[in-house]
Amino acid sequence: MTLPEAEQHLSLALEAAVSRFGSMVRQVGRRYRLDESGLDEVMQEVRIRLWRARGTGEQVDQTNTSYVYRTASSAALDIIRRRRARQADRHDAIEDEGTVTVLTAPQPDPHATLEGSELAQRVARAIDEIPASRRPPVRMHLAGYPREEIAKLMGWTEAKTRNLLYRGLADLRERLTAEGIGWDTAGESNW
Amino acid sequence: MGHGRGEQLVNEQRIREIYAGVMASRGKTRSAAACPAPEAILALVRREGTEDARLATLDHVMSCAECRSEFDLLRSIEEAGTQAGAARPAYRRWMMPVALAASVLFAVVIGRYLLPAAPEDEVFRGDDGGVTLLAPPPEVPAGTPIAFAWHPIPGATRYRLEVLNTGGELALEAETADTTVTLQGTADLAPGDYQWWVGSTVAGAPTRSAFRPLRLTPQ
Repeated sequence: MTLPEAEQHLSLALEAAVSRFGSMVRQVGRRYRLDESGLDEVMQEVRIRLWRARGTGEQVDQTNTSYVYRTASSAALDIIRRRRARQADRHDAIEDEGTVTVLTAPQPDPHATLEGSELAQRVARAIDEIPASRRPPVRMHLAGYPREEIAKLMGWTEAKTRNLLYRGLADLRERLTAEGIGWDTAGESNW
Repeated sequence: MGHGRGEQLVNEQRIREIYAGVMASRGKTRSAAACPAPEAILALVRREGTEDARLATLDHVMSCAECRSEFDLLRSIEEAGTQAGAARPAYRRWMMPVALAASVLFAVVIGRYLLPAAPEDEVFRGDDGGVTLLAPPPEVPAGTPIAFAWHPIPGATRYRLEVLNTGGELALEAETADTTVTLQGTADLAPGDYQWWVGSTVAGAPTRSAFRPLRLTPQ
């Protein structure tokens, strides 16, 4: 096998190993409404790591899913760390600048925006006041995660999850009422 | 359940929209220092660590758009790994200590039948001659409150009851002056193996029962 052929073989083998696992993650990610740009970055990092670690096309051919999974998991953690570090640098840079130019865009209705913002603050405050044991499942529910996913993530029974959600949403209703916000349950989904 | 006496009226859909807006606005002003470490998010996804720690991480993740995006990424990789047979499902990781406990239980049972017979007694006594446990029985249906009972210790004024999971982590605790207590919190415990004990301090000297196994069976 000539050098260009070997490189092409290595490239194809790498792509096959990565795309096998990548398509599985994408399939799962669609169910989880995953932002695929993050995943693309992870899979690119996996390619680089496999390239460095495995050496030849034959070795990459033998790369199993377990190895790719572990590499992807570790790459994802590193990418998250790097992103956070970049964000922190950006914040520092903005804070270091003496003057900040505020860009303004036309506002649709200042009164409606203010009212919406106040309502959002009151809702956020009411959620923050739910007891800590029940608040996370309520947040997950409001963020659109189905009850089965909450139960699976926390290792809870269906009964326990339903109970915590029921009580947590009752807490939320109570706190919203105290904030002067009524909760209309007509046509509400059966959670 | 109808709406309250509030001035403004919202429904669940509106609350979800507002919550999505709050999440988005918080994402723009993320303070990485306040965010859990990526490893903590991974532990949440893998269901590793104590429930309290995972709940705290989840509480933050679900209120921070950036952390939620990281959570979804790690969760997708983990789930794909599980489906591919490359990662152990979270529940199996959780079951590892249970399997270990089952092995210990098996050894205890074998020991009970192979070694010279001990006096037949339904109660467990502490090595220090402390507390005699009476109830509950070793197996109880999950999802229900459980009544715990023990014999009084002369001179004791308060008792401490602890229920531990197979990892030895505290799952429930209670303090009482009585020799019986019904824990409502057991209704929230997942089916599986636990152990419990009761302790007290008499005249400055701590005393406690032996551990007693408790299995919560699925209903």
